[in-house]
Amino acid sequence: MITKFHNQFLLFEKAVKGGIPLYLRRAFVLFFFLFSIHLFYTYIGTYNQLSTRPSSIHVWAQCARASVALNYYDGDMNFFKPKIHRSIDGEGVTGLEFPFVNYVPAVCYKLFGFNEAYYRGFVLLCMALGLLFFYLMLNRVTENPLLSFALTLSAYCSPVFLYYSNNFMPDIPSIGFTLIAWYFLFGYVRSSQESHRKLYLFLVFATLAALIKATSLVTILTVFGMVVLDYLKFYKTPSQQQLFLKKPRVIICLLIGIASLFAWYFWAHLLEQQYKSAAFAMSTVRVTDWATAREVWEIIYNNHRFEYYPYETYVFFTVVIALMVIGWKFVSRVYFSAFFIATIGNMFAVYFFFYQFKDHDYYIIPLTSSVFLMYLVFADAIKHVSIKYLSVLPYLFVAVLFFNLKEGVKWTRKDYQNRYNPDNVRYFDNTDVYNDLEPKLRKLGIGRNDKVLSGFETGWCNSLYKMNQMGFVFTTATAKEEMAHLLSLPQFKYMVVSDTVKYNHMFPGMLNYPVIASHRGLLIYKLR
Amino acid sequence: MRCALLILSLLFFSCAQDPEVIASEHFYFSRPSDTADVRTAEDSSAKGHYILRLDSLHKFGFSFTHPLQEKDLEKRLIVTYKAKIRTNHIYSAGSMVIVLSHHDKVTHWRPNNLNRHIADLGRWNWFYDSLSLPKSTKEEPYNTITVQGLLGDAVNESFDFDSVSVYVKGLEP
Repeated sequence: MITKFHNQFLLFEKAVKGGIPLYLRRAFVLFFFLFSIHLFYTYIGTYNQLSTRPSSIHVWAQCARASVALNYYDGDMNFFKPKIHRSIDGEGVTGLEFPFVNYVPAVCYKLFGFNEAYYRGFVLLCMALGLLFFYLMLNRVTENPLLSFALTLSAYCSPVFLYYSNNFMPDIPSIGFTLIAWYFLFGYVRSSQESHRKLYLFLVFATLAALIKATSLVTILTVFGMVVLDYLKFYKTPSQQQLFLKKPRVIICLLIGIASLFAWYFWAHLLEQQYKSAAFAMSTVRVTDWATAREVWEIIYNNHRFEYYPYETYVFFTVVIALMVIGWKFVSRVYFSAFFIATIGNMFAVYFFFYQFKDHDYYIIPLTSSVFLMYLVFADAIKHVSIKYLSVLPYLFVAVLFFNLKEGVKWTRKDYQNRYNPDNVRYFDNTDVYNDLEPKLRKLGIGRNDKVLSGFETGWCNSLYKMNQMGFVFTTATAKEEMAHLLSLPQFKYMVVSDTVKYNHMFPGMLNYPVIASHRGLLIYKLR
Repeated sequence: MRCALLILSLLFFSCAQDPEVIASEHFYFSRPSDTADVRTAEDSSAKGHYILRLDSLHKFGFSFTHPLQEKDLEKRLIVTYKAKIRTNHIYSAGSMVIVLSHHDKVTHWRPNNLNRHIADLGRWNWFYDSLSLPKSTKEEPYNTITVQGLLGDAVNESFDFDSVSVYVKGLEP
């Protein structure tokens, strides 16, 4: 009876699809994704923060990246000399990851005027495009837009993902480009490989992903692994001899990607040394003793694990892995080897940056390529099982995912809105008082390049960025001698103090300067 | 074509959830009188319009009190307020105070300094702010919310309030 139902359902599906022209089916697939992802973002509240200044968790890292974009816009747009607002001497040139994610918003600022919505919107666009290409990749396999979107949402629905999706960090564009790269690579592999356009597109997106976040180099290295397996005849089947017909060309492309990455980071290190700026982490941060490793693990387990994914999603991961083990013979060799090698690579990335995971929840984002690839393997397996045995299986999984995602989406929304709760925002960040200070400074005749001393800073250059002033900062850890030295330097013309009581306590007798303005509890002093 | 248009129009449909307003109060200040609890003054920039003025002799201003029901206490409660404020002092001590009490016993007292909302001295500054309330527990229960305007320890300060609105809102837990 099951076989009869299976065959009848297959005929029904064919009849429905056959009755709809191909262009309409493709349009429906696209519009279904756009409509669904828009509904999702609206429900979460993603659009509400598009015009918000950097704030809340990791405001320090947000301001540092946004500072590079603003300096491009207000400076000379020299791509190879990224700058931040903080420096004692010089223009604030610094080394950092490939500043593509900073440069594109700067171009938007030049065209349309400064507005952080362009930066946040660009990051969100990169993520949405990545999801679209992943969804299309899944749909090519499953031919079922419902299941494809459900799996895409399951991999994406995470508090960390949503918080950084409309933010200033490069991790989200990196995973977006990674997903687009995989789309083109699998498209290339499936094609006749006479035209290499898709291979070159894979190279562009995979290299971009790695340049803007080094841990995404895993994608290029994974394909290297697949080429090696291909040489070992791992992919040989009765219907195909090899996966890559022109392996030398593929290897050259991968080497170009890796060489680009090394070239940029070599240049970034040179900038860092020449201009003595250490605003961005440019090396691995390993943990070398068990006590620290245990400490980091405990923080990840207690604080971050349900920020990475909701509980229900972890349950679904377990189900997916179990089903893949049980249905091993239906698992595609190509997709599984990509998932397996990428996961090994991501585990190495965790090892090299393990200490950063303690306080930086966004480090997980580029490593979720394993989750997306796992779902690709799973989707392909479901398709093969459904063709052979049970054609309604994809729809059964849609129903399962609906109930699974229902709670996960609510959890994600709650966590996301909690991060922008004014109490939490103030807990992590007290720089909202600088948000609208710049116009007042300009009215006072203070130019952007009139260096200021700003304190008490809680980040790297949060206050300087928000008031768009070049300068330097002092904190509660600044020694009296250092403060005296900073005040003596002729390049600092003004000082902005957030707490004069604390200042007079820490640096007695060092505030004999005229007050020229106040703003939301800040006092602006003229030094010289 | 109609289907495509319907889908396109639905692209702009918003289904975000807003918190439910449990209680609200808008304060209007009237001509000064000897019997009034608070001090009001005529706004120098708008004749016939009266504002609330706090100083060292009149430290407490408006007060909004709302008793909470059991069903409200199960929600995530947020107090939001918006107003115009004005001060003549750099180190302003003007605050909004949230008091949570249980049968006249105060369990939470939280002043929120309004200095961060004063962009310009001597001028009106609009602001909007919100505060999440802690959950009512056995150890620290509450069933009444009070929101007050308060001028703390500032000397020689004159702090003005106008167009004050206070809302108590509830979200699903």
